[in-house]
Amino acid sequence: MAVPTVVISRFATLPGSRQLLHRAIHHAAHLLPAQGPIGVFIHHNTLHAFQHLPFEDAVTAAAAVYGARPFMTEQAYREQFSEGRITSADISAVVSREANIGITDFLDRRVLRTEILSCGPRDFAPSAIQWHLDETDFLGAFRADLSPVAITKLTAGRKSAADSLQALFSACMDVRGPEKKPAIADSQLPNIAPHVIADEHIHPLLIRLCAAFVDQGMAYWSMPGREGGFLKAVQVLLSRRGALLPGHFVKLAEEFRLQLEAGLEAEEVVLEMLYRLGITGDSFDAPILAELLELPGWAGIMYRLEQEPELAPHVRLKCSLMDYLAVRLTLKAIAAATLPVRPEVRRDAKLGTTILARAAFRFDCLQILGISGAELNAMSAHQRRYLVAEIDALNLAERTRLLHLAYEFNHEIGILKPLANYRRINGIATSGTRPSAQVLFCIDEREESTRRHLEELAPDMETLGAAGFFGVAMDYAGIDDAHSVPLCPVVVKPQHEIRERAAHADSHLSSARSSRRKLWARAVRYLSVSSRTLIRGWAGTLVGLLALPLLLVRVLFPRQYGLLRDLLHRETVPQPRTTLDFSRTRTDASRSEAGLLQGFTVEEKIDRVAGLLGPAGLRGGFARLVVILGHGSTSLNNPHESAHDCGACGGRRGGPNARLFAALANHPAVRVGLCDRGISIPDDTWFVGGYHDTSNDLVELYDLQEVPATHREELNCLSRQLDRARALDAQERARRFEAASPEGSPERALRHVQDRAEQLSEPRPEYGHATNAVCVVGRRGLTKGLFMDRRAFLVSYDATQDANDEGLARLLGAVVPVCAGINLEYYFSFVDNERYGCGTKLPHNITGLVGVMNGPESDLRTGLPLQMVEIHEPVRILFVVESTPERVAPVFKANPQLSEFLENRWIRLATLDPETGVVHVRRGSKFELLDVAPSQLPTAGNSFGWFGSQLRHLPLAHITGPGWQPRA
Amino acid sequence: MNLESFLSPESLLVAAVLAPGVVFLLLAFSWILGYLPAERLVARVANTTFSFCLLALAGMMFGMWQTGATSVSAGSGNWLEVHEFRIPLALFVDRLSLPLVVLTVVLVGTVAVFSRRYLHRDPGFHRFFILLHLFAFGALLVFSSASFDLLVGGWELICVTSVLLIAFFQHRAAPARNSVRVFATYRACDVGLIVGAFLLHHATGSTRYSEVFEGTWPNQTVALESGLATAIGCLLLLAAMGKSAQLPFSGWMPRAMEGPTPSSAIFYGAISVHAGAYLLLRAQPIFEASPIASGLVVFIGIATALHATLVARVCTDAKTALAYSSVSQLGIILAEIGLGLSWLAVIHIAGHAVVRTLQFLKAPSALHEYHGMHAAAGGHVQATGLHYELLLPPGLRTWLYRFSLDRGHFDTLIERLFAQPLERFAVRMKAVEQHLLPVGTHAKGSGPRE
Repeated sequence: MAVPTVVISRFATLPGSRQLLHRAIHHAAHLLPAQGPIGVFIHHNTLHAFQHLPFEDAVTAAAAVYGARPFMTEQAYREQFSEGRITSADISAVVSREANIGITDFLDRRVLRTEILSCGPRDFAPSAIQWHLDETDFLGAFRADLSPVAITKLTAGRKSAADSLQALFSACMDVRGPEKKPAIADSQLPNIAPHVIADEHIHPLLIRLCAAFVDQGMAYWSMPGREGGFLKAVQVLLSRRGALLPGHFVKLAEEFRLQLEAGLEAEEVVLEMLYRLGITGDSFDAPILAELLELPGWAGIMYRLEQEPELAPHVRLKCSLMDYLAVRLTLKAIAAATLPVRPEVRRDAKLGTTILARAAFRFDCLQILGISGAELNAMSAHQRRYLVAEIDALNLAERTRLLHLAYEFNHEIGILKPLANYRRINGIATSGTRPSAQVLFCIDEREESTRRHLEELAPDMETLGAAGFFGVAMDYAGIDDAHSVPLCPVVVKPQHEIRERAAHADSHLSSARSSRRKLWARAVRYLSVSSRTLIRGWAGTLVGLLALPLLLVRVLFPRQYGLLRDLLHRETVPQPRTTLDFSRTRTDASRSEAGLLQGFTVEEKIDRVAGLLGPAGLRGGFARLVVILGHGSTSLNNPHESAHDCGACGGRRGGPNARLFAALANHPAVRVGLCDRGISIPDDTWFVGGYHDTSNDLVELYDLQEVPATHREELNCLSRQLDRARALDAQERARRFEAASPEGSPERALRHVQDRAEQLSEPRPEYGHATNAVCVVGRRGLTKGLFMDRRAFLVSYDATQDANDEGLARLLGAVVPVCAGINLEYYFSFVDNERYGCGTKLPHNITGLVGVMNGPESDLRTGLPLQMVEIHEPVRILFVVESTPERVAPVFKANPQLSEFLENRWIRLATLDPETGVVHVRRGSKFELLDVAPSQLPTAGNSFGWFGSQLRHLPLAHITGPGWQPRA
Repeated sequence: MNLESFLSPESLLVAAVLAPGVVFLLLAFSWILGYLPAERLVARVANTTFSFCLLALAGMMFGMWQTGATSVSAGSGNWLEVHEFRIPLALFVDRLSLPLVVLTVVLVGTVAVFSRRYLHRDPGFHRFFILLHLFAFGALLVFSSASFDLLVGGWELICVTSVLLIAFFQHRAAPARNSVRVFATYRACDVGLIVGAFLLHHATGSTRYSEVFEGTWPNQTVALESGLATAIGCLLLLAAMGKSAQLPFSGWMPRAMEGPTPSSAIFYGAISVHAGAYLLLRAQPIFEASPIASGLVVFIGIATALHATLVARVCTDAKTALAYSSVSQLGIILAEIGLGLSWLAVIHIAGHAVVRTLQFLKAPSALHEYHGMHAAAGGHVQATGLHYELLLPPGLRTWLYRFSLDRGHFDTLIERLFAQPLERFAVRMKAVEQHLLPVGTHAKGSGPRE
C-alpha cells in the first residue's frame, strides 16, 4: 500500500475555490450568534444579520435558517385570546390593514381571516386525523364554539349535525385546491447537513478542544501551543502517537501529522476536507453554513474573538473561524470515512396523511365560516378553488403572524389611548415653584417604579431619565479594579481615561487596602485551586468538616451571610476616601499607552454636561439638590449577571458615570461655560452622584463629604426618601416573584430581594428587562403619576426647547439602538427559548469563563435563559416620542441605523404632539392619526393600591397620590 | 407500646431511616393520583422530613450516650425467606455508619433547602423532590443496613435515583444518552456486590455483619480462608469501583454532570460516590484477611487518584473539573482503606463530602467569584501548572495534556474491551435468532426508539 505523501488534492489548489470558500465563510459568519464572552453581556438584536429585511420577513427567513419559531406558538396566542389579551376587534383591525380580495359574493379575505382567527382552527396532529375520524366526535358534532348563525347555516336542509358534517368533510376531501407549495411549510425542518451521524461522534472531542482553546483561566493547565492558533495547536496535540483512539478516529493522528508536515494553511485543509466529504460545486455557502450551525455557539465565539480579540477577558487568543472549520472538517472527514452510513430515518408524512390533514383543516375552517358541504358543492369550480386556496393560505406561519400583529396592536392601543387621555386630562405640569430636589435616573424601565415611588413620597420632587452613561463616555478604573473598562454604549469608543484615586490624605490606606485585598485574593485562589489538586486537596478535604458551618449559613441564611461578609470586609480592609482624576489642561494633549486623553478639559466638560442637560430640557429650574443615579446589578447563581447591568454603560455598572457627571456639573468653570450655552445653574445647586443596584435595591450616594453644609438638611431628607422609595420599589418587584410573600410590607420585600441577591440557589435574582415594551421620549409631565408597570423606558426630552430637533436626533441615536437591542433580544429569547435563548438555567455549566454549556458537553449556549424571560411579553418596543410626525420623520430618515429599525418595523413608533396632545401612530410607512375617545383611567391612591399582590401584567393607571391632586 | 420504647434508640433509628421512604411513597402516590401539591408544601414537607430525621438521630445518639452503647441494632423479621436463605430486615449503626448516616441527613436536608429555590417553577420540581427522598432513603438504608443483602436494596435505590436525575432534562438527547451509560456502568459493577454477597452467604451462612464478623468496627475479624476472602474482596471492590468512579470506570462521572446542580452536589460530591468507600470499610475484615484484595484496593485507589488529578487539571468547565477532583480524592480514600487507615478514611469521607457539596452548589456562581478574586488580585492571578511545566520536557507535556484531555482514553478502552465485543456478540445472536425463527415474527420497530 502506498504511503500517502501528498495530502493535498488538486481541488484544494484550484484558484477559484479559495474565493468561493471565503465568500461562504463571510456569508455564514454573519449568521452566527454575535454574543461575546459572557462576563460582559451586551444586549443586541438576536437577528441582527437579518435586520436589512422587514421584521416579518426576517423572522420567517431566520426561522428557516435556524429551525426556530418566528413567533410564539399558536397555542400561546390562543391562550392570550382566551384571556382577552387579543380580541376579535384587534384581529379585525390587523386584517383590515392588509390587502383585501373578494372570494365569494358574501365573503372576502378580511372576513374569512377575522372569523377563522377569532375562533382558531383546532390543532390536529396529521397522523392522528384518521383516528379522530374513526374514534372521536370529529364528524359527529360541531365545534363547541360555533356561533348559532353558523350552525343554522351548516344544518340547513340536513337532518342532523353528523349528517351535515359528513357531507362537509367529504366535500373537503373532494375539492382540489391549487397544489402550490406554500411559502413556508407548517413544520419547517432545519437544514440537514450531510453526514449527520459523523456529527454526534465528533462533537465530544471538538467541544473539548474548543473549550480548552478559548479557556480564560478555569483549567489548571492551559492548552499547549495555543498561541499558534487553533488549527496548529490541535494538529500538534492530536498528531502525537501513543493515544488510544476510538475506531472512527484511528486515522486522525496520521492525518494531522501529514497536515503538519505539509505545512498546510487552514484554507487548504478546509478545501481538501470539503473535497473528501464530496462537497464540491460552484458554491460552498450552504454546506459551510450547515457545518457552522451544527455548533453555532462555539463557532460564534471563535468568530467573535477573531473579530475583536480584546473581548477575551483574560487571555487574548489568535482565534479564527477558518481554523475552527479546518479542525471540524478534518475530524468529520476522518470519522465519516470509517463510520457506517446509517440510512437516515426520515419521518416524512405520507401523502394520504397530508391530504387528510389538509382536508381536516379546511373542514374546520369551513365550519367556522358556516359554509356547508352543499354550499361548497354548489359553488363554481373556480370559486371553490379560490375559497380553498384562501383557507390554505392561512397556514400556521400566517396565522401566528396575524395573531402576533393583533397581540401587538392590542398592546399598542392599551398604551397609547390611556397616555393620550392622561395627557388630555392632566395637561403638562409647568409648576412655577422650584422642585424640592431633582433625581436623574437611567432611562432603564426598571427605574420607572423607583421614580414613581419617589414622586409619590415627595410630589414636589422631579425625576428625569437619561441614558445611564450620562453623556460621559470614559475609560474607567476604580481603585479596586484590575483593569480599566469602557463605560459607555458599545458603539462608542471612549477617548478619555478617568481614574479613581485615593484622596491625598488617605493614600497610605489605599496601598494597605490593595495589599489586604491581594492577600485575600491569594487565599481564595489558593484554596480553590488546592482543593482540586491531589496532595493539597487531601489535606484540605481531611479538615473539610470545618466548612460545614459555611455551607449551612450560605444555604440557610444567605442574607445574614452577606451582611457578615460585608462587615468583615469593612473591618479588615481599609476604606480610603477617593476622588476621580478627571481634569486635564487645555494644552495637554498627551495620550496614554492606550491612546487615551487623561481627563477632560474645561471645554470638554462643558460639552458633556450641556449635551446631557440640554436635550433633557433642563436649561433652568434646577433644584438645590440634583442627584444622578447610575445603576447595575449584583447576583449569585447567575452567569448572566452582567446582562442585568446598565446597557448604556456597555453591560457594566454605571455608578462612576453618575459620580463623574456630578463632579463635572459642580465644577465652577463648567457652570460659567454652561451659562454661555443657555443653561443656567444657580449657585446654590449641588449635584450628587449615586448608584442603584436593581437586584438588591441598594442605593448609595457618593462624595457626601463634599456637599456644602447648607445642603445637609435637604440631603438627609432626600436620603430618607430614597431609602423609602427603594423599599417600595422592592415591594413592587416582589409582586412578580411567586416565592415572595404576596402581602409583604416594603421592609419585608426589601429583605426578600436582598436575600435573593445573596442566594447561591436563586436562578432569578431579578427579572431584569423582562416585560419591557415601551419607550416614552418626552417630558416627565406626560407620565408623572402614571403607573407603567416597570415596562417603559423613560427618556426626558422637551421638544419645546429643541427648535431644530438636534437634541432629539442625539437622544434617539443613542436610545433607539440600546432599547431596541434589549427588546429584541428578549423577544427572540422568549419566542424560541431553546433556539434563540439558552434554555433553562438549571443544567448550565460555566465553561472557560466565556459562556455556559448544558451539562458537561454541549454547544456554547447563547441568548437569554428561560428564567430571565419567562414573564416577558414578546412585543416589539413601542417608541412614543413627544413631538410631531413632521419633526420626527426627518430625524429617523437622517440616521441610517434608525431608519433601518423603523422602515423594517423592528420598532414601533408613535408621536404625541407636545402642544395638542394628539397621537399619531406609524403604520406601514406613514403616520396615522389615532382616534382617542375621551375616557377616564383607572385610579388608585398609591402604586401598591393598584398592583397589590397580583402577578400578571397590569394596565396603565393613574396614581393620584395622597397629597397630589390631578391638575385641571 | 409505651413512650419509652417509642423513644428508644432502636425505634428512633428505624424512624429516621424510614421517614424519607414514607414521604417518598406519599409524594409519589399523590403524583400518580394526579395531585400535585404546591411547591411551598413540598418544600415544607422536605424540611420537616429531614429535620425530623436529624432530631431522631440526635435522640438516638443521646440514648446511646446514656447507655454507653457504641452501636444500635433494630428490626427483626425477614424481607425474604427461601429455605435457608433469608434477607433479614434489620438496621444497624455503629461507629462506622453513624457519622455517615448523620452526614447524609444533614447534606440531603441542606440540598433540599437549596433545591426549593433552584428548581422553583421547573416542570420537574415534584419529580426532583420525589427522587431526592427516595435517594435519601436508599442512602440511609445502605449506611444503616445490618446485612449485605439489605445494603443491596439501598444500593440499587441510589443507582435508580442517580440515573433518573442524570436524565432529569428529558427533552434533550444528551442527558438520556449519558444516563444510560451511567446505568450500564452501575449495573455491570453491581454484579460484584450481588455475587460477593452471595459468596459470603455461601461461605458463612449469613450476610449479617454481626454474624459474619467478630468484634466491633474497626477491630473486626472474619473467619474466611484467604482465597475466598480474596474472591469476595475483589467482587466487592468491583462494586465499589463502579459506585465511587474508580478506574477504569471513572468515565461515567463527567457524564453524570447532566443533571441539575443540586443533584450533582448530593450524588457526586457528597453521598452517592462515597457509598463505594463505605462498602469497603464495612467489609474491612475481609480485606484484612486478604492481602491481595487490599493491595488491589490500594493500587486502584492510587491509580485513580493520579489519573483523576491529571484529568481535573485540563478540565475547562466548572462541573467536570469538580467531578474529577472528587474522583481524585475518592482514589485517595480507597487507598487509605486499603492501607487499613479506617478512621482516617471516615474523616476524609466526611470532610470531602462537605467541601464538594459547597463547591458544587457554588459552581453556577463561579464567574462572579472569579471576577471578584481577579479584581482583588489586581489583575495578576497566580498562574497554575508551572511546577510540572518546568519539570517535564515539552514533548512529554503535550503527550500528558493529550492523555488528560481524552480522560486517559479509558472510555475508548472500555468501548473496545467491553462494549464492542458485547455489541458484536449481540449482532451474532440476532443473526442466530433470525436463522432459527421463521421470518415475519420480528417486530418491525426494533431500531432505537425516539
